[in-house]
Amino acid sequence: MKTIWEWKDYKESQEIRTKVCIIGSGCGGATLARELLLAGIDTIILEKGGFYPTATFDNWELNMAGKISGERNLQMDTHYQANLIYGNNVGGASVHYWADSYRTPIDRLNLWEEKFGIRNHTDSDLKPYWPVLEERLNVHLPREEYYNRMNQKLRLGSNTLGWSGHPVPQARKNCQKSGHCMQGCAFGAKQSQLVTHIDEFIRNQGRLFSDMEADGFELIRSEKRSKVKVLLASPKDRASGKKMDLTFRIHADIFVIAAGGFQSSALLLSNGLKKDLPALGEFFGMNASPMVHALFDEEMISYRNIPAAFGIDEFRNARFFPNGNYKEGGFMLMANQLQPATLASMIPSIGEEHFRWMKSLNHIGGTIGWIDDPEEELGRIEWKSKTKKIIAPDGPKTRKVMLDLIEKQVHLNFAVGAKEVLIPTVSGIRLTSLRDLQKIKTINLGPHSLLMAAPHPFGGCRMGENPKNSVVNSEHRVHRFENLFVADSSVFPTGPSVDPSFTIMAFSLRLADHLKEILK
Amino acid sequence: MNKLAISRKKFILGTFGFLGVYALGSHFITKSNRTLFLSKFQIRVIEKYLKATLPEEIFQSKLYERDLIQRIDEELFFVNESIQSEFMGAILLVEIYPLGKGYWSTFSNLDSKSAKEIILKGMQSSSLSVRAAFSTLRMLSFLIHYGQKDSWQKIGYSGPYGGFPEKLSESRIYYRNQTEG
Repeated sequence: MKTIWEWKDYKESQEIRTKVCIIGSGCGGATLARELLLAGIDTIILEKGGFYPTATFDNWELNMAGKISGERNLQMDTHYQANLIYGNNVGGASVHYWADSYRTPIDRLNLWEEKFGIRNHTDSDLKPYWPVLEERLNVHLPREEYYNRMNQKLRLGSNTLGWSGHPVPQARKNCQKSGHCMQGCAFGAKQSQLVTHIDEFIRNQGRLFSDMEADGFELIRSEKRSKVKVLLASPKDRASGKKMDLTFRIHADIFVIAAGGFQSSALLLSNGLKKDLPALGEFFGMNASPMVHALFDEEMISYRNIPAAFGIDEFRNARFFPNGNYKEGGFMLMANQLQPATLASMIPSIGEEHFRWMKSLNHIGGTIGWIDDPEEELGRIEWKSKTKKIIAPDGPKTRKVMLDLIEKQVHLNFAVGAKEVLIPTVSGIRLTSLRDLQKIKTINLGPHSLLMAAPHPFGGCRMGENPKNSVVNSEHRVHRFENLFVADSSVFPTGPSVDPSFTIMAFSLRLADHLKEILK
Repeated sequence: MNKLAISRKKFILGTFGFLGVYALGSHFITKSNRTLFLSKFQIRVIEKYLKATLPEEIFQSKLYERDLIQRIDEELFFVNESIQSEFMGAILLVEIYPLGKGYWSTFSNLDSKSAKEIILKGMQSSSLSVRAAFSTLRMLSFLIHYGQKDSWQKIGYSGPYGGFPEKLSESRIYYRNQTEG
């Protein structure tokens, strides 16, 4: 039986019938699809991007960005704060992520329960899912040989400065240390959705439609609860990137949007659902990630081996003075790993100064941090002129967190032997010792002041019980709809404070259990 | 280079007037034979930008310069219309920015030294639009240059791990077919 449909297979418009239709094949969609299918529930996956099996990977940066990255990593938010990093392929962002596999911190789950009233996603609810996922994705702590020089230095810095840090759980099997996690893994070693849940889904005769973009819903409106009758989708010509003149009508009992944090709320907004759901698109965050580059006398070769073997979690939760003012923290701190093209784009300056850094490629190390976006300064996603607009989180507290993160990175890099540190503001700030720290005390961190990326979107379809300030309930069902669900990081009320992929998967397992119940 | 100080108000009025004429004009400027997205005018601006930002020696090879422009064109051809229009706006803004800074020349007609000065000024501008225009072109230039094999030896990069040959995607093959005809 045919299981994968791709662009060349689409010859005419079609009607498709299924029990569950899932839009998106990343951590949320793939995990859910595998679970439902193996429970005997007819499930299909639609994916806007292409199906690129591991054998099509070549580790070339630009080639792989064209295959697996949304808008080739060139999309930015409306204020040019950061490049938005997301997947556009079967397997979603899991194909280019770093494979960090953190269980959701208990303090964050407690916050979501106590402050946002989320049920069924507490520590005890999710506890059974972690070992299941860890076994499927071969999650383990990295052995010593998988620490590149920068990760060794991060661990050293953690010890020297007394900052709490730990080895980062990795979803890998037989890793070849290529350093090409962000280009997919040409060895199939990274346990992305492509080689785990999607692979299992296909082997069990699940139907997957790649190059297929969800356009909109036909709704049956009702005072109490509306219902999605049909999903309209159109295939794309993968070669030209243009839509084909074909329409697919998909009939299902249940529709699940799992298109990712940058996309899911945009799809609902594009269907005019903001008037039903005032919180739609709101409370959006994206873990903007300020980095610093550092030059060392010794050879670093930071672009090889695994990116984040070790993480500093000392500052994961922000700290406050007794009067409530921000003191420090609110971020995770990691070794940075970029291949030369991306690194070059993130090194400020031009001409000889830029070339001086690039000629030192093999001696460049550095760090990166994920901002835990302060919940009172979150951004939003809007739909205007047939385009999604990403308004990044910003505000005085966000900027203080960023500044503190930069300062801590400077401290750490000098503590482990950097002879020069470069802060990638647009024009660049060069420091040769800690005495130069005063140069950054007054930097303006307004829009497009730092060169950075945003790899971990969340929110926009916040989970909660009140339809006035949330979009889905604790069962992931969209308020005021009977058969429409969301299964990705869009439902998080705040950032999870660690890499979100494992939390997304655990939430999907929880949703799968719920759907299995109601579809019995 | 002659410089002339002009008032902020004149600059803003002049900029919008010039933008209007340019936008209208560039609409009628034909695409280069070798490109699918960039017009000849836009290529001129980008060529100047590359020469001001990248190591000088790479421009000894005309062939490499052409490859670089084509890869930039290819990347921009396949992104969505919103990103495309932002880059078109950025290129236009970069082109006329020197006029407001007292240079009697558009960007593409500046000598390399002045182009470099203008880029540095643009990147430090207090205007978000100006800063972002210069900065995003800078990022794109470096991204594409250091994504090319020809740039790797000089920076000591041994290339993608495993030495895989390039495996062209359907879109890359499509672009080649369209531009080679």
